[in-house]
Amino acid sequence: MSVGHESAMMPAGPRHPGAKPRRRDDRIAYLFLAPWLLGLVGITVGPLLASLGLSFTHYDLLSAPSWTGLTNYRRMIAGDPSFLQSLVVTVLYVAISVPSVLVISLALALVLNRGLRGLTLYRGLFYLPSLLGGSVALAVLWRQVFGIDGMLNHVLALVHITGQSWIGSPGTALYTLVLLNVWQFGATMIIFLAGLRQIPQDLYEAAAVDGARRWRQLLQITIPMLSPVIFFNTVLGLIRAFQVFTSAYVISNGTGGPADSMLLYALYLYQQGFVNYDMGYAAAMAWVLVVMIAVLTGAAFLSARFWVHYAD
Amino acid sequence: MDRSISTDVSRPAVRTVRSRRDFLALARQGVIMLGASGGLTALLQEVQGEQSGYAAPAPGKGPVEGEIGFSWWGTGERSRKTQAVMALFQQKFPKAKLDGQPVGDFNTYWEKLTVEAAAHNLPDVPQMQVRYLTVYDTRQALRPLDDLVQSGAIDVSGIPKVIVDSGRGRDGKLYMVPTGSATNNWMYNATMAEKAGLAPLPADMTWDQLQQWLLAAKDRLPSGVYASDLRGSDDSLLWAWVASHGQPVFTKSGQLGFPEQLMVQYWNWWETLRKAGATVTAAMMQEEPSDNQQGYLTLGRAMFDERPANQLAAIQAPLTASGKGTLKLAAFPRRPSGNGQVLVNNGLSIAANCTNVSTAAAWINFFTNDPDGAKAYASDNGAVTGTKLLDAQIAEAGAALPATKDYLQFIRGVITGKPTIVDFPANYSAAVQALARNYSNVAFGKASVESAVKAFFSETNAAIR
Repeated sequence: MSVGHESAMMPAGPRHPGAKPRRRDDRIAYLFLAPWLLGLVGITVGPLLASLGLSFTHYDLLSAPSWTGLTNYRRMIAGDPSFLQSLVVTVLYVAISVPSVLVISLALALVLNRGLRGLTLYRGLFYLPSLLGGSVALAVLWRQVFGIDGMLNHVLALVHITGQSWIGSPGTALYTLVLLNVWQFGATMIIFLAGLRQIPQDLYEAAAVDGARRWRQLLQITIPMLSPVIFFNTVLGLIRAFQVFTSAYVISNGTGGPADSMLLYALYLYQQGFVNYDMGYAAAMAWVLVVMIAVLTGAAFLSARFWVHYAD
Repeated sequence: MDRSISTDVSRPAVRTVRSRRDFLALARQGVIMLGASGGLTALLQEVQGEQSGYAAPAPGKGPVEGEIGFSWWGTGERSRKTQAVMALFQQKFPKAKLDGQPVGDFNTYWEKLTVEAAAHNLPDVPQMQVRYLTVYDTRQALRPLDDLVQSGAIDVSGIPKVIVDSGRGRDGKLYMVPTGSATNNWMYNATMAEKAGLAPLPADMTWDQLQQWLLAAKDRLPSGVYASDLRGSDDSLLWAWVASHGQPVFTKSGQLGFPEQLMVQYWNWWETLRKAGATVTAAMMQEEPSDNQQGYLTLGRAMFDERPANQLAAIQAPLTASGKGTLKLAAFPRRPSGNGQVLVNNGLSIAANCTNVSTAAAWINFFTNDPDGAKAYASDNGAVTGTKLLDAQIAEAGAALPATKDYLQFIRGVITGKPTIVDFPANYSAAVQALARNYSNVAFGKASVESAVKAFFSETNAAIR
């Protein structure tokens, strides 16, 4: 019987011999929880609620906020083409980069799961880009690779192909960001690899006995058995991709250019808050982002019942 | 029970606290006595002060001691020079300590400063620039300095009035002591131009003459070298265009003060050059690092550009090292009806939250007037504003430092030539951002000049409230 049940059966009132020690236990528990609770309230919940309040104001950081009601939200919908542009760019970025990361990392995890020699080395090597992450240094390196005088164009020149400025052209700039995100597939791959190890081998053996080939095994056993991990990586990837900032900031010199082609949502939010000093509008944008991510995550959870299979 | 407090003077004033009421009565009396004795002490001190001739020190004339925070923008050479001046100050005032807070990147500096100002946590002495002064002075983030000037704590008598006044806020009060006079201007590779057989740039050229000069240059330059960088998104240049056409850049309320059609002409001026291949491509413009020393002019890939005059020596150095020519400065057009040369002064302010005003004032005064300090700083962020100090630096630069001499003489010429003073609005950076965004749309063919100009006006005027 659980503790919860025991307490439910206990008669209420101070006379019960267990009551005082329990209250003392509670107090001690709260004492130990206090640092975390203080952090949660002071650093997370407090600023969250404050930003919600600020989203209904005009606030330029240096003057007191003034109440403007829904003006910031109305402006987003009706009066700010750059906001819509940032939304389009971000959705495109998420739509391309999240599936790309999932497919590439799953493919590599499948390869690495086949018991290759030197597996640990490969695993380490593939994970290395994820350690570097979306850092400033990496974004600077990206400029060196995809710039007009970058490494890629030098390589293309070897095969007599005239390159272009990949980060300086509106048609290609966003894809360099996608590539930078895809390059960090290591963490997703490791999670897939762990998931693959959990699939019972006897399922494959039984399928093999029944004459199922590898492709059929992948579709009928691996993918369904791995679906909780795919779901997990999809949700994490979505949330992360919607918030990408550093790479876009560094590669576009903070402008979101060329011609707003790298104006990701988080970058535009930053520009509004810290360049235009329109912190009220930036707060409203942040809340719209929260709602968007929540809705998408919710939709992913709703869809999960149709394609995510739990073994137990 | 006897709860009264004994008033028998024959007995020692020992009271027995027997109840809560006794305790409260005692506490009340204690507080009154404490207050009375405190007030008496203060009164005595006041009387003693008056009798001994004591008076509060004049503003900023207190002891120069304790630590103050000082922030500036710039990397490498500028930071080294700044720290040299700081060391000289601390030698002179050994009880004072400067807590240097440099920020390398110019834009990042202002972002950091704004966040600090929002938290009422500005460094005691932040470096300031006229383009951003209004952001802070209109929000009471800076301390007016007029009383410090009147008391003599900060001496601005050696600085021309036009420069001192550039540090005033909209309320007429002085919020920044200008320490470096700076302008943006044309900078071009004279050696390249000469080799290309181009006529020297006329001293008093028009925008049309300049455009023709650049168009003529494009076919005469070596392969891979462009006649000009592409600066349609540069704020200083747009203001130069507007000022030279006799229009105000901003209105008193901070909105754009010139007609849209004037800006249409401006971007068309650039587009004519870009489409003719006289400038670097739009993609190259996008890729160009903001650091002057990595720009196309510095790398010898563009013959002509618009850069701050104080960067002349820094940009010249790599060109000299690679044997790619000698740079010259040229002023923005003064025609058809105004001086395009806008003065963008840098200076030092005192934060409203500064509690050590005497030391802050002493530091500003030292930075502005000390000959050794000025020599160590070498006009790195604008020509030193004191006339005598500027003359001394020009004489000292002589033939040994031709780029420095050219730059300082150029600035002196700008100052004496009645430069345009722009009343920059708060939230000025929104205009800079809107300008870059919309010209990028034009240069990449995503928007017509007319629609981009409309968008620029709409975004800027909406942001500057």
